[in-house]
This record gives sequence, C-alpha cells and structure tokens, in this order.
Amino acid sequence: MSALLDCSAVVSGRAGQALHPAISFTINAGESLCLLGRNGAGKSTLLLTLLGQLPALAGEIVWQGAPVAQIPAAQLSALVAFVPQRPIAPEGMRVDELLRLGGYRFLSPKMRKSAPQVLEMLARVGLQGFEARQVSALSGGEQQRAMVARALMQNAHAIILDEPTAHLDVTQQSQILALLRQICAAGTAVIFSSHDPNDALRNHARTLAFLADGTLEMRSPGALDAAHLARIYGGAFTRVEIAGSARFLANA
Amino acid sequence: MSDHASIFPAAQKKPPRTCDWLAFICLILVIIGALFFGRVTVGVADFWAWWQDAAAIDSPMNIVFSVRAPRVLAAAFIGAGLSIAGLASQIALRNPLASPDVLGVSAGAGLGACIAMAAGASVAGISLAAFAAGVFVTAVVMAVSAALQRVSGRDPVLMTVLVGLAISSFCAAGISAVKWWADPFSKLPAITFWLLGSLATLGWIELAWLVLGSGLALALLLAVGPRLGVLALGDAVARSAGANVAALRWVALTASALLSAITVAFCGMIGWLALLMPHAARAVRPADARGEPWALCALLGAIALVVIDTLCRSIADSEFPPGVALGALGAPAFLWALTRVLPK
Repeated sequence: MSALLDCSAVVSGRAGQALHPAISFTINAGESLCLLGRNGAGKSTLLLTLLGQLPALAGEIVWQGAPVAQIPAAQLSALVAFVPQRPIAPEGMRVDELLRLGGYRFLSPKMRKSAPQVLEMLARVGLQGFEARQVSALSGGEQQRAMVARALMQNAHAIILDEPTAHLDVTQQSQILALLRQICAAGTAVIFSSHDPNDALRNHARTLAFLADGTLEMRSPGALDAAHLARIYGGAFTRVEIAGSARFLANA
Repeated sequence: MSDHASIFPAAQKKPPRTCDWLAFICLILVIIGALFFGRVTVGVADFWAWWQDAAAIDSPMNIVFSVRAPRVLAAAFIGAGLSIAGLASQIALRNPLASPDVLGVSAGAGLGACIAMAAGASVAGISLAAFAAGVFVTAVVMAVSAALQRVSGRDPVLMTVLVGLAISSFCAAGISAVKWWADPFSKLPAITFWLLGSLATLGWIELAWLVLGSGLALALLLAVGPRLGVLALGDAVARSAGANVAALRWVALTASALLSAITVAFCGMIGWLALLMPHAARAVRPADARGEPWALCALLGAIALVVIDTLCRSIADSEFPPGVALGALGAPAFLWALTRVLPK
C-alpha cells in the first residue's frame, strides 16, 4: 500500500524560480503537517504545487501511487480538498449553496447516493442552523468553518489549508485548530501552513520549516525549539510552559 | 434544482419559487397587453368581432397576428436570452459587471453585420455575418486573454474583461470605418438605423430562427447551470473540488455569445439588458440553495424588453428605437447596480 502523499525531491517555485531546495516526505491518513516560514517564504506555492495546481520544478508528487499531473480533476478531488488563504464566496451566496458546490464531484447521477449531507457537515464544524444564512454575513471564524465544511464535502483523504488561522481573533483561531485536530483524528490527513509556530505545537503536527537561509527542515511533532525558530524567523524566542504544554513567545 | 433535492434530502428548507411564478404571470399579462397596445389600439370589441368572424379582412386583429404577435414574442425571447447571456458571463467570469457587451461580442457582431450590409448582403447574409463575427470575436477575446495570462500570470478573469474592452473598441472603430466607407445614399442610412437597435423587422420567420438559435444556447446553459456556481468560489477551489474550470467557463461564454450574437443579427444593438437584468433578478432573489436565479432573470428580461419595445412603438407617430431608449434608461440603472456590487 503506497503512502497517501509521497513527495520525492520536490522543488516548487513560480515562473521557473525555485523557492527552496529539493524536499522529500510522505503523508499518511490521519497525519498532520504544518508548514512554517516567514511571509513570502514559499508556503502557498508549495501547497499549490502539492495540489497539482502549479507544476513542480523538479521531483515527483505522487498521490496514492499516481503522479499528480496525471490524475483527472474529478479523481484528484476525491484525494485532496483545498481551503485557500482568502476563500471567495460571492455576495448573497447561502451557506447551504456553498456546501452543495463543495460536493461538486457528487453532482453526477452516478455519485449522488454517496454524497455527504449538508446539514450533517454543518453540525460537524459547529454551524448547526446556519444553512440559510449568507456566507458574507458570517463572522470571520464562522466563514472559515463554513469554508472547511465546504472542503469536507469532497470527502477527500486529505485537506490542504493555506493559513487557516490568519485574519481570525484568538478564540476563532482556537476553534479552527480544534476542528483540524478533530478532522485529523477522524483519519483525514491535514496539511496546513501557519505564521504561528504554536499552531503546530497545539495540533501536534509535524513541521516543515522554510528557514531564513533558504533551506527547508522537517521536524517531528513537538520537536520545535527556540534555536530552530530563530533560524526560521530571525528573532529570539522564549519557551514557556502553560498548563503542561509548551508555547513559544517572540522576544520583543 | 432537482439535482439539489435528490443529493441533499436533509436540506428541505428550500426557498419557495413564488417570485418566479409571479414574474411568469406578469410576463403573460404584459404580452397580452402588448398585443392590444400600439398606434392602432385594438379593443376587446375588435377581438370579439374577430372571434365571431375570423375571416373578416379588415379586422384590426390582423395587425395583432401578422405584425404584433411575432414582434412581441421575439422581444420576450430576446429579452430573456440577453439576460441569461449576462448572468452566464457574470458567473463564468466571477465579475458582476461582465456582459456580452463588455466582452466585445455585441460590437463584434455589429461589425460583422455592418460589413455585410455595406457589401449589399441579403437579410440572411447579414444575420449570418453578425452571428459568425460575434462568435469569432469571443474566440479571439478568449485566446488573447489566455495568451496574456500565460505571459503575465495575472488574474484570468480580470484579463478577459480588459481584453474584451480593447477588442470592443477595435470593433467600434471598425464600425465607424465601414460607415465612412459605405455609400452615403443607399447604404449608410440602413446601417445607422440598424445600429440604433430595433425590433420592427421581426416577423414569424425571424422568430422561428430566434427560437431555434436561443434554444440551442439555452440547452447548453441548462446542462451546466447547476454546476456553474462552483466558478464563483475561485479557480483554485473550483479545480480542487473536481471541476474542469476551463471547459465550464468555455461552455458558459460560448452559449452567452451565441445568445447575444443572435440578437444583434436580428435587431441591432440592444445594450444594457444583459448587464442589468442579472442584478435585478438577484435583488429580488439572491443565489441560494437552488443556485442562481436563472428563470427569474430570463423572465424579468423578457418583461423589460416587451414593455420597452411596446412603449417605443406606441408613444410617437414614428417608432422610437428601443436600443436608444435602453441606452438612456440603462445608464442610471447601471449606477444603481454599481452601488450593489462595489465593496462596502
């Protein structure tokens, strides 16, 4: 049985410009990977490359044994779902319509019976009773949860999220991270990027860091330390223990 | 959407279709009214007399059947077709200000028709030229914007609209050149009048062609309609949800080019409807669990054009071109639409 996602010697970049040296890793069901790095380091580009939406400059990205470029869109959508950094929902679109469109691959008559239920999915992300609300009228955190629910409607094996906690207040960030933990526990692989190393700690995720010197470094869950963070962000960090779990604070 | 009902039986709280039905009844009433309204007013008494003796040659009902009926029905079809074309292009390009006019289809079809007229083609030739040029310009706009997008890597949606504007203005220059070149006595007046936009020449045969052509385009759109909404979520999300983004967009834009080129072929430039009617429809019923308000948009467009055309042929001794009336009414309506779509 091949890994869910197998990257070997992958280089991503835009317009032929490589953003990092070659990287190899595998992701399996129920695993969590967090991409860390400064703004503009190339996190989004790597995520889009994993999704097959940008061509890899070198190396191979293989989803369940098939190279990503050779997987038809409909099949790829059963493997991996995507939540971009700033998801778009048009003015006036209702939450249930957003989720219906998320289930796009189930719109054909053959697939209809196996489609997930909109209301069940809303309950799963904590948005019971929101189906008739307009997406644009929701709070930032509710919108983000609706977008995650939209992606979950694909019933894919993995979900890729670009900065899911950006632009959210502290409570909303915690809710999204809890939701990602729950998705992961249910057996879906979760790959997300973040500007906050504590997001990786809280979700016990493996980390793939874009270091300030242009290299990449992979660490197992919980293996972050202040020296490593200094090599990512350039500043000094202090490790603190809160209720038995570690957090990092940037020294101002 | 029946699609929706069967996929998601749990989401039963679907909004009622009341406004669609109200608009439909309204359209029927407007059509009946338009048949009796005009420079020659036909009353119920005339209808009754005709009902008693259908063979009467001098009955004003003959006007209704030979002149008004095909024209009113054609106005309804054109209004509906243009509005649907506007909605399809707005969804496909994720741009609330997109329409076949903006994308250069109308100007392209207009240029095709002008060249055919100046060359002395028959009515069928003019229609064919308008149609072919409209579809050709759409293909050019799509190809140029795709090429520019590959080079610059900019947003393909914005690129398409800007390329459409450029090609549109090229076609407008072409139309002026044809007018300058055309025989000022035999050809120019016809071209000028036709460009104003008029439904006066529509008879039963033209109506049949119109129904055939727009039927084809509508069938295309109905096939992708329930899926088209996924483009609203952005290309990256739509693609990752399993949509063939390029194919969906191509079908929607081709069908909308077809609808608007057919209109231009038969009655010249009818502006604004395509851009504005989707906003009117969404103001009444926003996109919800049943998707975009396709039916309502078509019905409102039909009502609008029938009413405007009827007023234009009735108010003065000589007919006022509805294309001109729409141009004047469209500008303030566009400003209203702007207040709806610009970010707060």
